[in-house]
Amino acid sequence: MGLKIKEIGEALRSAASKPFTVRYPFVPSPPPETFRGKPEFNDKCMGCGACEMVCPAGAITVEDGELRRIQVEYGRCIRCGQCARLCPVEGIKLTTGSCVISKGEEERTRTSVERKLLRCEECGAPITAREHLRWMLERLGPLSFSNPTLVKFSQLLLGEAVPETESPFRLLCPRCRRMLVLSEHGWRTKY
Amino acid sequence: MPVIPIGPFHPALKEPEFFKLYVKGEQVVGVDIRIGWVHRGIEKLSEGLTFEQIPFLVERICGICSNVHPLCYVQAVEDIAQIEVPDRARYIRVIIAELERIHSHLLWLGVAGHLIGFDTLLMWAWKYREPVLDLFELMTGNRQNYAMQAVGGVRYDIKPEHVPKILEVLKTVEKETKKAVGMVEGDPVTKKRLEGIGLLTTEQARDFCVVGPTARGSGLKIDVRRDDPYAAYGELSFDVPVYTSGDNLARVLVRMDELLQSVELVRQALDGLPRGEIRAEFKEVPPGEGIGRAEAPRGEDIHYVKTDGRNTPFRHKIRAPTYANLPALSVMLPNYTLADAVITLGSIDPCFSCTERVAVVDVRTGKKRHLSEEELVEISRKHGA
Repeated sequence: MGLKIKEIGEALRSAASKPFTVRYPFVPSPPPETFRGKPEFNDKCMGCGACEMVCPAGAITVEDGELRRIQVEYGRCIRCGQCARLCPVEGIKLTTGSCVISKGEEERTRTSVERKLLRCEECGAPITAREHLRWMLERLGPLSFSNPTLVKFSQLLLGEAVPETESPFRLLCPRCRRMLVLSEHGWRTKY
Repeated sequence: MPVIPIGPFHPALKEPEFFKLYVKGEQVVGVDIRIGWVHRGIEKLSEGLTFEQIPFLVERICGICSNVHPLCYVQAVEDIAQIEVPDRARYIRVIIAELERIHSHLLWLGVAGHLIGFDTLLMWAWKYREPVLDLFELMTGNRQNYAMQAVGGVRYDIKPEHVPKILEVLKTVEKETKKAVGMVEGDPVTKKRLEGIGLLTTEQARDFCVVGPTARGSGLKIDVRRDDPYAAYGELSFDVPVYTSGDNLARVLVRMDELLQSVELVRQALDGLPRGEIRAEFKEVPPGEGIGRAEAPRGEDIHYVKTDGRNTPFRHKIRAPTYANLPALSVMLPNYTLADAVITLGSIDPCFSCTERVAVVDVRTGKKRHLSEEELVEISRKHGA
């Protein structure tokens, strides 16, 4: 009997109080600041593509065309935040924004950045983004003299006009670099 | 033989089940269980991902236990690589795991209430589950799939300003759970729907190797948290509630008592939360084998990982708790009415959408009819004891 009174009491209290739910689309319901929403790129991004390697969902793709294009597909993104955590320069960050995939507008379902590429002088294949090489130069300091591509690139950055034929350094992709080193060591004649 | 197939498909499940109930009139006389209907190949997918990426895959095995699977997995990898997890990370693991148990049990309590026609309980339980989910959103950034566990520790820290909010939610949950226990125990109709139904004796429970609240409701005192302490459970004190009657009521009460224990555990963990790092660095995972065990809301969860020195596992085997609990239904369902089948199925806490479609076959006429989940629930609510 006492229980029935308790239940009736609860019913009366509930009837008198305002609804527990929020009338969401009509009333804003902002998420907390820590909410993991859709990721977005910023200007710090240097185009290294580390985010593509760590993404567990395969939502981030890197395409090398005229420019390097890094794209996040929101439909595949699981908002885990690995890209933001492992980005070396905080070039991608999770926002608190949401993304309604079902609601038309193709361009709202993805975001991308484009970065200038550095190409191999021999075959024209992309080496990596220019900003990425610059970041490497800064980090390596004097150690970068061990890599001819980085030396040449630093010369380019400094604007040192070295005649093309006289420079002992060339911008080469890893594959061409290997071929060059091997042929210098007489790989073709030996084997 | 009359046959009632329940199932087979629902894409939302980690263990999609197909039940064929053999009935004589209203009486269930036999049951046939088949699983494996939605094979997603998680174990094989995991072999193609790095150790850092796998927690995000395994937390999507189940939307409700989305902390316990990554927890098991990272424990297995830590076992192989002998990684020492920082103290603070171990305590945060306990807090997240217990808050997950609270929200899972509240969800289950509401569903159980709904199945027996006690919708007030559904509204009530889910109302108080909501603040717990908000806590998760505040602490980890998401209501489900918290992405909290990482090899070597946890990914997000608990900030000092979160603590009073957690304590406030715990206070409400504790108060309301106690009230709900009174409602279940004191309401004669609810009690009659649960008492003596779906009996699983201690011997049967041991024979079927059931785990979690299903085992504890049948008098088996097993709990990974107590028997093989992981995270910080060895340093905290808690009771393992055990009921011996083995019926649906026992399984309800076990979960309610566990809820109160979880509240206590979170309070203790917050009290003793040590300072320091939350994540240990690790370089590479050597070849070897490791096992991670954890007590999920539904029972013991096991992950086995074998590595061969590369940065992806060689083999990753997962045994989720419902897999262990399902066979016991073959003795829990027969000899009760069709109307009781639903709550008995629900009492082991499988993901209940498996009963989306039900076919009923009358043994005497051999006639077969298919029932949808709504119809089945309707039968349960109208014709129950």
